[in-house]
Amino acid sequence: MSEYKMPSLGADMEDAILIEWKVKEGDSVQNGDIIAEIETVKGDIDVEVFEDGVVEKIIAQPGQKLPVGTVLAYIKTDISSSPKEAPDEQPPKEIPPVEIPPVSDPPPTIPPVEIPSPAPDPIREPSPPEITPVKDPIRKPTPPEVVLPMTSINEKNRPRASPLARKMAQNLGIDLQQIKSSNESGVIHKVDIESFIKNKSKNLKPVIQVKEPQESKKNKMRSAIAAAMSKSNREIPHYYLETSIDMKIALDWLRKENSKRSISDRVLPAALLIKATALALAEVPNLNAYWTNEGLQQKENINIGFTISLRQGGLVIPAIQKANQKTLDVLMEELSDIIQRARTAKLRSSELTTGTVTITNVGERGAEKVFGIIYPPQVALIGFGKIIEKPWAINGLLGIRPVLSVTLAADHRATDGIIGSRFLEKLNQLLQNPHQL
Amino acid sequence: MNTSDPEFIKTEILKILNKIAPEIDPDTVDPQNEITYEFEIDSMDFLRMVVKIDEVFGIEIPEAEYGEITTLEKLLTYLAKSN
Repeated sequence: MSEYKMPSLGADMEDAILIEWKVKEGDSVQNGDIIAEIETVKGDIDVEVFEDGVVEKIIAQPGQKLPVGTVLAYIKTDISSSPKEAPDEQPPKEIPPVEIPPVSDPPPTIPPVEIPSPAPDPIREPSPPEITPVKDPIRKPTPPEVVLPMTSINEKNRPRASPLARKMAQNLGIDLQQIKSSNESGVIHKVDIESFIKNKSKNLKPVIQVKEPQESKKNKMRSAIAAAMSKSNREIPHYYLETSIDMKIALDWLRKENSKRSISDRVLPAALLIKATALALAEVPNLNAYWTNEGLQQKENINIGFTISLRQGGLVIPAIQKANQKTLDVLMEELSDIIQRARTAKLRSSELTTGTVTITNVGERGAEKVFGIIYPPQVALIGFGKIIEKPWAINGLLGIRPVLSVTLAADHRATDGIIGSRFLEKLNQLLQNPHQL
Repeated sequence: MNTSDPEFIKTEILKILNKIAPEIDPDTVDPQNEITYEFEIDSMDFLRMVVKIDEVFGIEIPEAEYGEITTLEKLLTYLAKSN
């Protein structure tokens, strides 16, 4: 039997309200089935199950506001099939909740903790020969510092707990002082944490107000973004690179293609940029990775997180799975679908947790350049600016060309500028050959 | 229905835009300013608008003429001329 827990849909999520179960006790479920709907600051999300089995016991009730990691139900897993993780890239599960420290009296911080590693992912082979070493023997990766809520503890009266229990508590945002040891030694073990969560889930009172007012949601999303971005900016040593790309060939090709198509089949430059980015990442895989305590973990699938601004404020970053393997038509279809569902708060949990890199395309809204902040545990963010006509010299002749500014924000713990430069150069090459995209 | 009636065109266009950007109150929109800015729409939303215009008015706006429909005012004029 396995525990089905409130998933973490990103570093900026602390809790969610269970809106409804899509299954009942006794129902059979399969990997990928949507089994519940939850309300988060990013909107209502359909959450999936990642194993086959039977819903044995439902613990959480609709209306309850539940922290990430809370057991929602128990699934009796099918003996013949081993539990599976999320379909492609398992997100970093149960990232410790991020708290914004008060300005006047910052809460005590605890020693750095390990962020849970994503599911094992085969390292892409062969790696390019010039790749930066995955692990730096001299400089150990600096684990992120987790700022706990006001209930956090100081070193002196820290409860005694096994390393695993301590890690679990930290990951779930649980104060160890709330937990009683079940053995004589008084040391808290994994089993004590599990029993605490189980009891907590049982005792939770339903929240009367299921739907929060729009303004409150907006403020919460702002706070969540603020916390996640502050953490990223504080912990990730970003480096930035920028290049200008002549888009004449790509846009001419696109115009010609679109003139042969019906309106609804037209391809937008955004699809071209997504595909080119995904193919360039396949050539420079160190940027398609997560940074964890184990160092750089390259991801086999290239899932492009696409930043979508919400009109009511804030943003969401659903991922387009395996974008390098999809045609422009399929990418257009998926992009259109994902944008509409993001705007109507109908995304699936796996879409919010499987991104391996992020694209921001604010150029469409007018900015000439954008320098982004990495969405952890990813190690790169690509920013596309506005395509602007500029004087451009080719073979000694000056002409006017549509020019796109592309920036790369990358994690210097994971890669060096030479890797980033190689990626931008590859991207440029791909966009000069749009017919190959 | 008279698809060349300016009032009809305006009503239908606002309906289309309301479906794409329901959060925006059309009364607060400056018809002489960029549609993308006033309705906070991106290129995908803009394409959806063009597709819907084709469905409602039977007018296929070529990409080369997107420059003529950048504001609500320009769009209404363009559609009135095309009908």
